Amino acid sequence: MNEFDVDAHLQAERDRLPILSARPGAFENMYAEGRRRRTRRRRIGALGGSAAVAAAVASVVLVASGSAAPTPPPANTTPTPTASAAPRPAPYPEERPSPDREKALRAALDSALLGATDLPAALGARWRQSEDLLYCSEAYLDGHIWSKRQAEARSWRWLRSRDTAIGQFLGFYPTEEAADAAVAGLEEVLHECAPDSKRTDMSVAVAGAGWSSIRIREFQPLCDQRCSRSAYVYGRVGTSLVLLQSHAPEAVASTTPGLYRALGERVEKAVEAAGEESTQEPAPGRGEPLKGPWVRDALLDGQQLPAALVDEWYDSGGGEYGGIRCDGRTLGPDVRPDDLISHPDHGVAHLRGTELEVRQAVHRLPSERAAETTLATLTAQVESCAEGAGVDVASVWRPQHPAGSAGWTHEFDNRCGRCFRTSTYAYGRVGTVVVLVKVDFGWRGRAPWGKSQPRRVATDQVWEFYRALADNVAAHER
Amino acid sequence: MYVTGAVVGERERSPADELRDVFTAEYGRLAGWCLRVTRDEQLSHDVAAEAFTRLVARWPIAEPRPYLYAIATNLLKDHWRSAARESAANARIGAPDGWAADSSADLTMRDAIDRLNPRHRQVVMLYYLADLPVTEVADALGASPGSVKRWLFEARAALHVALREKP
Repeated sequence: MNEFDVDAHLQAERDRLPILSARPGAFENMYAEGRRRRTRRRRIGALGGSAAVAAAVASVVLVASGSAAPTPPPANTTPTPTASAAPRPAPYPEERPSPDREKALRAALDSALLGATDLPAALGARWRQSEDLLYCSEAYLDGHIWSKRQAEARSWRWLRSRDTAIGQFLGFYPTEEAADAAVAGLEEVLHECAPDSKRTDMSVAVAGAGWSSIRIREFQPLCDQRCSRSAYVYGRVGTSLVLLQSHAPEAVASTTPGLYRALGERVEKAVEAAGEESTQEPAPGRGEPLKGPWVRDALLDGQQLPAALVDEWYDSGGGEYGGIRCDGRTLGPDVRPDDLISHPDHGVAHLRGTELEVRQAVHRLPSERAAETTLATLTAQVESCAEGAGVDVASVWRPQHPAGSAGWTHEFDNRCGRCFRTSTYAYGRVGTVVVLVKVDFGWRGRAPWGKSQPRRVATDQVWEFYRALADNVAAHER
Repeated sequence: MYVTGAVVGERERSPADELRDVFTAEYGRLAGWCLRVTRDEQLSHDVAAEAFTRLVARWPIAEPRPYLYAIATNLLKDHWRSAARESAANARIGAPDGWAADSSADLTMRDAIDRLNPRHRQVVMLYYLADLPVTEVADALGASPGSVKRWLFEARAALHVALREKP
């Protein structure tokens, strides 16, 4: 190597290294950002040490549970604006709310936050409330979302168990547009924080508030903010922003959409209790049963049902099996079960064969939004019913069909402990009319007429019943 | 070199003062070092800025210079990994590869360094161009000083062969 001095050439290469000038304000920006990270690390340390937290947090696969299919937004609803589409700044009023109102809203939101006893036992025991702790969202939550000028009231709570942490964040905004903008802003920040994180879009039915389009963003790779392996679930319920942040084991996976729903429902109720309408449209009121001779024409009768199903149908005429059981209480919070008596003039029919029962309901609501809310309520309660009974429910979102309605089918794979049978629901809306078909198959144990084996009808076929009924309703609506 | 928590006259220097000293002394060189590695001025500023941000978050640090270069090295490793993926993707679609080493016949020391394998390139960049001692290079790479010395020997040999044999 004598003829070529590598060291000398490397030294010369070092001397040729350029020296770049810092950008204007670079130090101030770095210093501010570094201090912010330092503060965050100390908070994490207070929680139990950054290493402990990093080890404790686990991935959360936030997809719809196996029993609930991914749910696209329902028809005729406005999706939450994306980060690129959402306008910023938010269209919020400059005027601050009165202190009393802000105080009332804050108290309402505080009361809406889930407590340890509200969390599923499967998530873990010995929950305790933790100090306020915000991770990646901290800057945005502090600097934007929770700006007092934008949000009238806000509230958050952290619950920790031995190996799980769940954060809840609520903010009440003056308008739905402002809340949408806040959601979009949060999405933007989370995307910037972890562009490679996985995002899942889905809809969750929130009873009383309709559908909530939510985003689930999973941080899997380690992020330098140490907020990795966490998941953010966020969306808007009425004029409130709802955010859940999970650092949890896989046990959370199937429950987080349910937690979001539970939190959203409590938010909705709390805000209403605070004396303010949470939505811009009138709240859904009590529905009007459809009456008139056309209803009898619209409802499917034994002749319209496939003969292959049963050889003879008859109208039960009410009585013990006249109402719709599980769902009889679910056609909107303001609809009494008595409204759903088994009488064609009231838009409900109950056909019973030897092994099958077909229930139909058509019910007019005051507005399309009220109808959407009713569908959401129905979805939430059917799933809740299944969850309470410990059975699996296969849910399928059905696309819009010519009658103008999209809808759901829910099939109870196992027999519901309350209905004692295997059931499939199919429902949607036609304009302001909620249309529902429920088919029950067999009974648990020995059926009243001695049949013990349930007779199954394909879910697609139940959906065809719904379509036929919806088409009839649509024809009359026109 | 840098005064950390020291009393200057009657006034104890604040962390901001200390960090500004480090920034003034090191930022330009660190960013230039990054530029030598990446050939991308924007990226170089980003890497240097991120390294300083982490330094602020961790302050006080007894030896800030090795820390800065260690952070920058790790950030650039990530960059190289993504560049490799990008290069592979470009190769698949037949696009020109912006990250390939210069293959012209006029081989310079710079090109020769670029052609080293990643491990050898890192030790050369840290030991020769960043002027870090072997022990701090070892700390930055998470290796033993002995390994660093061996890699340096191998890197020098590779550079010698490459440059001696150039046309």
